[in-house]
Amino acid sequence: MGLGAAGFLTFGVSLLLSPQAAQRAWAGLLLGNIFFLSLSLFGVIFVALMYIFNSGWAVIFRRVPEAMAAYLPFAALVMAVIFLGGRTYLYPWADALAMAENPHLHHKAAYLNAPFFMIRAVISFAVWIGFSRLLAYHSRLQDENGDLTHTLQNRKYAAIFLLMFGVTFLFSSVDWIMSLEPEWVSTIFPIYIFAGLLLGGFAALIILLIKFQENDLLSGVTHHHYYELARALCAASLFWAYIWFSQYMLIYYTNIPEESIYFARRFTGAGWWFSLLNLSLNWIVPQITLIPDRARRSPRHLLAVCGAVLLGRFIDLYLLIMPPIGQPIYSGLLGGIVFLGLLPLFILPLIHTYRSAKPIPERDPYLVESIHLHV
Amino acid sequence: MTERYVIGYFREEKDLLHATGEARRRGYRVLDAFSPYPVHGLPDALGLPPSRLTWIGMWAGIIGLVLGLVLQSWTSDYDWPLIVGGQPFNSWPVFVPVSFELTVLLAGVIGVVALFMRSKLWPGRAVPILPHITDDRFALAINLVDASADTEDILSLLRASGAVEVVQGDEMALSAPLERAAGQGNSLFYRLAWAGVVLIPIVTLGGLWMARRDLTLPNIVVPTQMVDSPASRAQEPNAVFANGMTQQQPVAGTLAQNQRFFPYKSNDADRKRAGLSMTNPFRPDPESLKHGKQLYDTFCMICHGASGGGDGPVVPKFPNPPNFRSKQSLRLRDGEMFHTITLGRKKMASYASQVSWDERWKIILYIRSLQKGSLSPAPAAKPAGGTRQAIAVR
Repeated sequence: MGLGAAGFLTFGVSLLLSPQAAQRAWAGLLLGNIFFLSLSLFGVIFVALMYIFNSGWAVIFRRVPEAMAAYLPFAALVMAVIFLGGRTYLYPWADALAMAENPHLHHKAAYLNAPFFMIRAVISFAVWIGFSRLLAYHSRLQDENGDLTHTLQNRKYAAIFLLMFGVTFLFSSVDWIMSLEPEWVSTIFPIYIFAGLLLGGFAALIILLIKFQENDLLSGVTHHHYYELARALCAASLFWAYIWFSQYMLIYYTNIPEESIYFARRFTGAGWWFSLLNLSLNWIVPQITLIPDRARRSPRHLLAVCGAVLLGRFIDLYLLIMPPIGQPIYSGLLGGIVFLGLLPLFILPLIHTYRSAKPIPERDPYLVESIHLHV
Repeated sequence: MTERYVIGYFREEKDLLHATGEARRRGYRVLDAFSPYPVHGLPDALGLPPSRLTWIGMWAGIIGLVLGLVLQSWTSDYDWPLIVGGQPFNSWPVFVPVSFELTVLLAGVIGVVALFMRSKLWPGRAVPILPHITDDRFALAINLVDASADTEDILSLLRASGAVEVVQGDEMALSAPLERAAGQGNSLFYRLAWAGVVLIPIVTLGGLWMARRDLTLPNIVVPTQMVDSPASRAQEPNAVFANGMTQQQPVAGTLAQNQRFFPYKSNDADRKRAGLSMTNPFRPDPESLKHGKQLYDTFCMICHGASGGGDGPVVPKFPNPPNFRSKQSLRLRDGEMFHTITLGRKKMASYASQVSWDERWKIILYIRSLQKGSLSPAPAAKPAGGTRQAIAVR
C-alpha cells in the first residue's frame, strides 16, 4: 500500500509540476498499466492454451493464472483515465488540427481519432474481461459438480477467445503503443508486444507460484512443474529475441530514414545502454542461466532469473513508450515510480480472487496427470 | 565368454517400470529397457545419469555459430568486399540469420550423428532387434554375467511383474530369430550406402579440384556453341553468294518490315517528286502540334529560330537558313520539306537518324502553324486545381 501511495503521490505531484513532468507522469502510468495488463492477459491466455491443447500438467496451479486476470477491470479503468485525462500529452494524433495539417498523418485520421480509438479499446476490454470471467466461472463450477462438460465447454471458449484475442490485441498494441509515434509503422510490432507479454507472463507466473508456495497459499507444485515453466520461459525469451531481431534487421538492412528513426531514438546516447540492458535481461540472462537442468528446478534460482526478466520487461516497455515522449532517454525514469503505484492494484485483487476459490481445481479430469508430472 | 541374458516382454509401460525398479532393487544387472516411445520415469528407474548429448549439441551449436560468423565476415569483409545496401562490409546484423541456421544445423546433425556413434549404429553393423519393441511391446533385458545370478528368481520376477513372454539365451541365440536384421550387412542397400559414403567425398573433392582456376582469367566456358555460332558473320567473306559477301542488298522492289517507302535521292528533281507525291498523314490537332513544337525546339530552333525567322541562337557563327515566312519557303510543299529533313539540303544535314518518320511530319505541321503567324499554336492546357496553382505556373 505504501508503494501504491508513493506511486500515485508522484503521479499527482508530477502533473502539477510542469507540462514536461506531467507528460512523463502520464507516460509512466501508461507504462505501468500495460505492464500489469500484459501479465493479467497472460493469465487468461495461459489458461486458454492449456484448455485448447488438452494439456494437463498445469492444472494443479491453474487457479493462479486464473486469478492473474483480476487486474483486467482495473486496467480498463486506468486506460480510461489515461485516455480521458492524458491523451493530448501522449499521442500526437489526439490533436485533430495538427493531424490535419501534417501531410504524413492526415490520411491516418480515419483510423487514429478519439471516438474510434475508444470504441476499439472498449471492444478489446469487453472481450478480455468477458472470456476471463467465463473460463474462470466454468472452472469453479466444476469444483462443485465435477461435470466433465465444463472442461469441454472451456476448450471451445478458449478457442474462440484466442481467435478474438489475436485481433483485439493487434489493435490494442498498435493503438496504445505504436501510435505514440504515429508516423512510424512496423507490421511485426503487435507480435513483438505479444512476445514480450508471453515472456513477462511466464516470469510473473513462476514468481507468483514460488511466493504462493512459500506462504502456504498453494501446495503440490513440484520441481517438475517449475522445470516445464522454466523451459517455456526460455522459449518465450528466445521468441522475443527472435522477433526483436526480425524487426531490427529489416530496418537496419533497408536503411530508410522514416523507419530507422525508431532505432535512432533508442540507440543514441544513454539509449544504447538501455537497449543493451533490454536485450541482456530479456534474452541473454534467462537463456544462459537456465541452461543447466538443476537451475530450472531450483525456485531460488528461478526467482532471481524471473526478477531479472520482469525488470527487463519494464525496460522493454520503457524503451517503447518513453523515447517518443522526451529526450534524453533517462528523463522518464520518474515514470518508474508511477509504475510502482499500480503494483498493489495488481497484487491485492489477485490474492482476493485467488482466495475466493479452492486453491486447486479438485475435480478437474487432468488433475491426476498434473500431480504426477514427471520430466 | 558369451554373455547370457533374460529378456521379458511386457504389454504395459507401468509393468516395465515396475519390473525395472524391482530388478535393480534386487541387485541384478539390468542391461537395458526397450520401448517404442520415450517412457516417463524410465531413465530414473534404470538409474541412468543425465544425458551428455546436450553438451554435444551445445558445442556443435557454438562451432556452427563461429563458423557462420567467420565465413561471412571473411567473405564479405576480407576476401571479396562488396558494398550491399550502403552497409559496412562487416555488418553483423546481416550475418545473424546464416549464423543462426548454421548453429541449428550443426547442433542437430552432429547431435544425431553422435547418438548413432554412441549407440554403435552405422552401416554394415548387424544389430539384434528384439521382436515388437518398435511396435507394441516393452522389453527388459537382464544380464546373467555372474553365475551367482538366480535365474529362477529373475524369471519369476519378470512373470510376476506382468511379462507376457520371457526368453533367455546368449546374444547370438537372442538375435537368431532375426536373421533378416542381421543379414542386412550384405544387402544391396548397405552396399549402396557404403558406396555413397566412399564416392561422395571423392566426387566432391575431385569436382572442386577440377574446377580450380586462375581467377584473373576469363571463365572457362564448357559448351561453346553459344559463343561460336555456326552462322556466318556480316563482314565475313561468303562463298555461297555470287559476289562473295555475307551481307546482301535487299531484293529489288521489296521493303523490310517496318521500312517506309521512300524512293528518292538527294537531288532537286527527286525533292520535287517527293513534294508532288507525299502528303502529311497527321492533322494539325493540339496534340500533334504540341509534340511538333517540342521536337522543333529540340532539333530545329537552334538554326531556324523559335519563330521560324531563320534567326536561331547559332546564326552569327553559322550561315543563316531561309526565313520560313519568305515567299520561297511558303511555296514549299509538305513533301519537299519532308525530303529536306530526311536527306538534308545544302548546309543542312540529314535529320533522319534524330527524328522518326512520324516526328518529321509533326515538325512540318508545326512549321506550317509558324508560317500562319501564330507563334504559340499549341493552346496552353488549362491547369486543373484552382487559381493557386495557375499562378504558380505563370
